[in-house]
Amino acid sequence: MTDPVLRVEDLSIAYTVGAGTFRAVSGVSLDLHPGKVVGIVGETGCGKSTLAQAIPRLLPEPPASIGHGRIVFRGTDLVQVPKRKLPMIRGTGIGMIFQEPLNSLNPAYRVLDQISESIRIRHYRDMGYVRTFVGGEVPFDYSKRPTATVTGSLAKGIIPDGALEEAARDRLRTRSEFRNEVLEYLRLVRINDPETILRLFPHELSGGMRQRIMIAMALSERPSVLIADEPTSALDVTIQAQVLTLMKELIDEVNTAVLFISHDLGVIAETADEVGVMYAGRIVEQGPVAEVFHDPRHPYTKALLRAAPNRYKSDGPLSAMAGNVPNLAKLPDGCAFHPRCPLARPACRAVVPPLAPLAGTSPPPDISAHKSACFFPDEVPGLP
Amino acid sequence: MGRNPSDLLIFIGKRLLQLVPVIIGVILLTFVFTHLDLTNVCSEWYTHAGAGTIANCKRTVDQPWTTQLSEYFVNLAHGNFGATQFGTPVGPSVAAYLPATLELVLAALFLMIVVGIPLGVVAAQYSGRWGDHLVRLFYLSGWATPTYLGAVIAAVFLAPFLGLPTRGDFSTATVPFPQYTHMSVVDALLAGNLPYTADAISHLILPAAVLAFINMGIATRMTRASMLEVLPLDYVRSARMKGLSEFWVLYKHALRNALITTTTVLGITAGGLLAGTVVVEEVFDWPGIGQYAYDAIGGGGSTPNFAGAIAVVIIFAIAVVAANLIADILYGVLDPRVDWR
Amino acid sequence: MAGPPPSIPRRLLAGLGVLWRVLRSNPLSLFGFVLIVVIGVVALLVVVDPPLLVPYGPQQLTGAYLQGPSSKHWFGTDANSFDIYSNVMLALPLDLGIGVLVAGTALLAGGSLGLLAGFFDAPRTVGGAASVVILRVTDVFLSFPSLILALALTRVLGLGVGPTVLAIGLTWWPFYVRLVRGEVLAVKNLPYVVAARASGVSEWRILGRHVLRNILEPVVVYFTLDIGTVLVTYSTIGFVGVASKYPGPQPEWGAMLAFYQSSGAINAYPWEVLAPGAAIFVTVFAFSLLGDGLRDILDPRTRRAFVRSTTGHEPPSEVPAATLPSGTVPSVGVSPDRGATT
Repeated sequence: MTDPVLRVEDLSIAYTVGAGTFRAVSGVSLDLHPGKVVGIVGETGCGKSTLAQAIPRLLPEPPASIGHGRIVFRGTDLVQVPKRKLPMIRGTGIGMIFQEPLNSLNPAYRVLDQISESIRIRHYRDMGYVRTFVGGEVPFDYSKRPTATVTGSLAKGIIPDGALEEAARDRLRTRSEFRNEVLEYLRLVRINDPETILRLFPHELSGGMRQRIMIAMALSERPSVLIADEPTSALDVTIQAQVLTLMKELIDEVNTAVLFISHDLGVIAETADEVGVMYAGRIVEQGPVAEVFHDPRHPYTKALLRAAPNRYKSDGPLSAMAGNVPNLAKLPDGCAFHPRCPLARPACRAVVPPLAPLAGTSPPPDISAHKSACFFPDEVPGLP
Repeated sequence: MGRNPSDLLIFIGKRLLQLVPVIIGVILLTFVFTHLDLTNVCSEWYTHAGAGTIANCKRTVDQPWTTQLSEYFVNLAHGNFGATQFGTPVGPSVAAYLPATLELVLAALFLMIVVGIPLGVVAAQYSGRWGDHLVRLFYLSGWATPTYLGAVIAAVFLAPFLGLPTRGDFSTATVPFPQYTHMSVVDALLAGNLPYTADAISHLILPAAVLAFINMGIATRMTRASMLEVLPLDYVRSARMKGLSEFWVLYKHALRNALITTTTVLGITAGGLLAGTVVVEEVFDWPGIGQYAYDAIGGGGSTPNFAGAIAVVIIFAIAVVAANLIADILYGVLDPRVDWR
Repeated sequence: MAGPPPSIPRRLLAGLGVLWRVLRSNPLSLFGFVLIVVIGVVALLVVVDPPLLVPYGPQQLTGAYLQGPSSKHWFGTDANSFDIYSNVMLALPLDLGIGVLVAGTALLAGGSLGLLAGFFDAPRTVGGAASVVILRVTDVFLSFPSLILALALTRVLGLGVGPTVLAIGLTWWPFYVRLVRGEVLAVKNLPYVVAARASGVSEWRILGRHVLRNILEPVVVYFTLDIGTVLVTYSTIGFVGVASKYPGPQPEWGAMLAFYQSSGAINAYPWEVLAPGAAIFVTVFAFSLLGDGLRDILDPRTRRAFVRSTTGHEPPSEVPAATLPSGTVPSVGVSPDRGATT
């Protein structure tokens, strides 16, 4: 058992729209451990992207506001960090890969400039510069973190032994050194002919290529936590598979803690160690990915699995889930899923079921026990 | 893939070709205006290009308009803009006055860029809040100030307060160094004469500031609008997520893209800046073509000089066309998505 | 803007609703709007019933020489003992009227040409040929700084108010050609216009019912801003001294300012210059405040921010242009800037 690098505790996020307020995320708790991938899965509008962006405090506040809860990153509650200091935890602390590879790269800068900017940010922070060339200020309470432990195996693959220590000694690296490191990262994300790609602008690249660049950019800061928000959804299926394979390989190599957001159960099943199923802003089921997907203990998870096209087995026709995704502004009382739930009883309409561990499971280290937010988890396996 | 620097020449060449009909149109239009009422013109002024004397003018009137037109073109092509009623050729005077105006306009443009564009960023950053309102108040008051009012207020009330000179380009009538470019600051710098450089700048700053203040609105407004368009975009979010401070997110990532559209309107401001020089140069006694135009038009009761006025009109029109060309080319350079071929 | 356009009264109501929303969300524009109403009423009163607001005639000797502002002479008097306040007030209807008249004429003339050039631009037709000619001529006119061209034209057309107005008008229309044409091009291929054409509605009817009505808002907003610009240009020509004579029976702000400025001693009698200066500044400022705020909702760049600020939620995101076709320079959008003309 290791300490989580990032711990989300009972986090609630609300949006204020006009006169009304609705909760996009309610009472979500998560632990992210180095080298482990936590997947979040759910339908569109369940709050998973809000959660992803709330962790590095990227949501525009207002309209969003963090109602209560804590986001503890390396001992610091990010909710309490003033806006001005937020850049310090981003990039090197918490990195992110976005949903839209098409628009997430700055159209005005070449690939080289965009990746080397990320490398510079990390480099200057490693150097302990408080005010840096680009990149605001150095991370506050972990500015002296030993680079070697965080980067771990990633550094081994790309950077020769001792290079980091050497880099720490000379304070300013030359342009060509940064350029070489950019090349290393481009190779890391399996880009052929990185010398050419370097000089190109984003609009000259294909979608899959751009997503690789995004990944290289995020990894080049060697973040302790990496949030991947639907990193493959905007891509063609074939390219999606390639990028996904690449991400899996890199995650294995990089030993960072990963939060992987997707609406695609198959993607989560392939990449994640632990999964949280979100519905209407809450995690309704959580646990080791194999356990949750093979033995779901929440009727929503069960329904979701039934509705998903399964790429491994084909038992019968696909089924659409009854009912609609609930309106977050007008959530029903009690369990939000009860209007669509075959197991719903009066208790479900009155009380929100807590996310409680199931009896008799023993999770692997650094992974949450199998939990379900259903009053009748034992009846779920009996559902069609 | 990628853009080839040699293609930039093709890009510029194409743009230049597009200008030819516009320039011809400009000259045609001035021809129409100058030859509308030739008899009157002949009696009042020694007039349009090529007509050096009354006799010449009268002779020209009797010719068919096609001949007049071709003469007009030929004369202009030779830089012959006609002469004043005292027989002084207009072309050389205009050429002598042009550099000072260019200096003034460039200084104003510089101020517009270094002040007006950041103000637009600030307005976008605080959109809908007081920072935004204050910036708008500032540029709209520039917009609403007639140039002469701004110039007079600056010259009469502001200059003594700031201790700045209000007349001419140097404090002394003659300067102890050769004036190669006829741009005061540039000449003083070329001569390595720092006291005179400081003097020249102190003369330049007020008229340039007035011109910039009055024309700043467009740059600020367009920067604000483009920033508002750019700020919600994904790549701004990724820049933020890289760990860049808000300053670099705004000025390196967002502004770089917002500037692409701002450049196009900077070309448009050329007209406003040039027109503004007519009044600003008159009030500040700046030895440029604006003041020349003021006198040529008969401003302040001076003797009108029709050939001079038309020469200035043609030159200003060509300058506006050139400014738009430069803006167009800059746009092509700034936006990597524009294909040069 | 899918679906057919609603009926005229409903659109008018909707337009007023938009106006109210802009004004409510933008205190500066609200202020400008109130100011314009006040200025308009004052100008009307000066014309209808001068003694109510104008205590002295334009060239009436008051016997008070070079006096500072007082309760009797609000803006002081000059060396001729003329009352400056009265002269400033008498100039208001003229300057405001010229602004509305020139901008209005330019709107009608340039606007109709722009409408034709934008709507009948099919190549190899009479309309197409005409629109090419219109656009070329417009380009040429737009190359001249308006003030310079107008100043030069006054040399051809003669001195005085009439010729000056004509000179400005001659330089003013081309801008509306470009503005209206851009709007028409943007509107005429909207799905419902195409649908109307497909269902056999005549071209003229489409022009009147669909296109004209849709381009009205941006043009009117631009017109609001433009009144101020014309006013500034006219008064600048007045300042140069070729439009109006001052002192005279019909005072004009630019000429007033030029007269007092050249008479020297502004430091001793600053009110002489500041009174007409403030008058023109406030008038133009009022139009700018309103027009600038209104433009926010019409400019596609700022519209999203405007919707966010008034409703608090994100409007549906538009697909950003991924790549621009070769050599495309974006038009300045629905609300191009003429630029400060003076």
